[in-house]
Amino acid sequence: MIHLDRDRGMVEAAQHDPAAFDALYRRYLAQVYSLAYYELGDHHAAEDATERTFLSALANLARFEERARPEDGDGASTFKVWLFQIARNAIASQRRTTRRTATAPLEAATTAVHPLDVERDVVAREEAAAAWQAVDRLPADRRRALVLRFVDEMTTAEIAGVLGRSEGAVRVLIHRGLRSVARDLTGRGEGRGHGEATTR
Amino acid sequence: MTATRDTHDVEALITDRYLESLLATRGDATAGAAAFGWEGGDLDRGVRLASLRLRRDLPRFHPSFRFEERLALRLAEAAAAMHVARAVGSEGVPVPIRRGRVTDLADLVDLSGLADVTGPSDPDAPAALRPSAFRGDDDGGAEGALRRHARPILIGGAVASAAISIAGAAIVAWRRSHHPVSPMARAARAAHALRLVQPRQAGVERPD
Repeated sequence: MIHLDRDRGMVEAAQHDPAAFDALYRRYLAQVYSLAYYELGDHHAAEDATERTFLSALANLARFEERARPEDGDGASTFKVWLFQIARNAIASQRRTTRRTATAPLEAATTAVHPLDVERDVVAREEAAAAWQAVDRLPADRRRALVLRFVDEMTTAEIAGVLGRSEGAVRVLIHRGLRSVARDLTGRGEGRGHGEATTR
Repeated sequence: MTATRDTHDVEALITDRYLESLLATRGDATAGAAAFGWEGGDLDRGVRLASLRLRRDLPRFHPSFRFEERLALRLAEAAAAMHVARAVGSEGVPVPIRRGRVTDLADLVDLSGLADVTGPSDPDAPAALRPSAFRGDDDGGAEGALRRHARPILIGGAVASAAISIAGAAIVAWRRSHHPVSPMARAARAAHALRLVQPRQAGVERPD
């Protein structure tokens, strides 16, 4: 029997004994929280959305059905898609009560990367801030797709499942998002210099 | 228009393949891309550089340790509550129950083993205690038995064990009341036999 869902063992254990849900919680906490943080831009709001997500997932775990397909590959996880669908709803609900503030993640994203090299650390902070601002200026659907792709490292199929779109539509969203980010960074005069730096 | 759309789709597909290779290798982004033979090719240069930037500069956030442990504790409490709820049967299937005879509770549990106790060929057994009565065969099978019930309850460990206890008590009571040769029955038969014999013997011995 081929196990299509990489989380199948943990999901079945948690369905049998809810206490075993802790393993799934630890595995996906940072990813869910990251999505909430990028979407809401507020530490406390992201925590609230994360809490709602996992409590709801635990309460409804008995109803979860694995639906991974053979073409999804060995690393596919329908549980992950299901969890992020819950997260998306929790974030949308949280957004209705919390006004999005885009400045908070900038500070968090620019923590010391090179603490022993002040000059490099300043450059890294500026570049990280510029990247975040470029993403933050995108329309919501493109920003969400890029965050799921680059931060949560989801596949196109997984993102399609979370966003409720076709894989082709997600590919176009990501492509257009990247082109917008490229224009934004080039407009700041960073594109050429950074490209030369990164390809060295 | 269609050609433009196809061009966008092809570019999006190329970008997707590039990202697959880029994100497949953790660590240095350019090394990851180069390892899979992607040095640019047909991909738009701006898209490629933007991908490298986002791969490198977009951080993954982690909540505070205090929040992580507090939520873990809350989830553990919720899990324990679910475990307790399951143990007392709140996740059972609602099944209607009919009022009336005590033995009706036996419809709610599997009593197939009782056929050996009461015996399917025991004609003296009350209808309510025959195996068919437990299985609901008399009036439309199990579905018929369920249709007769009136009050919904949740089936859990407590109710099931109570049903078994009551059914068992009813069977034992019936078996005790229908004992084939009780001492009282033997005494009554003996007294009755003596009463029938004595007049006849007296008549025989009585001289005409």
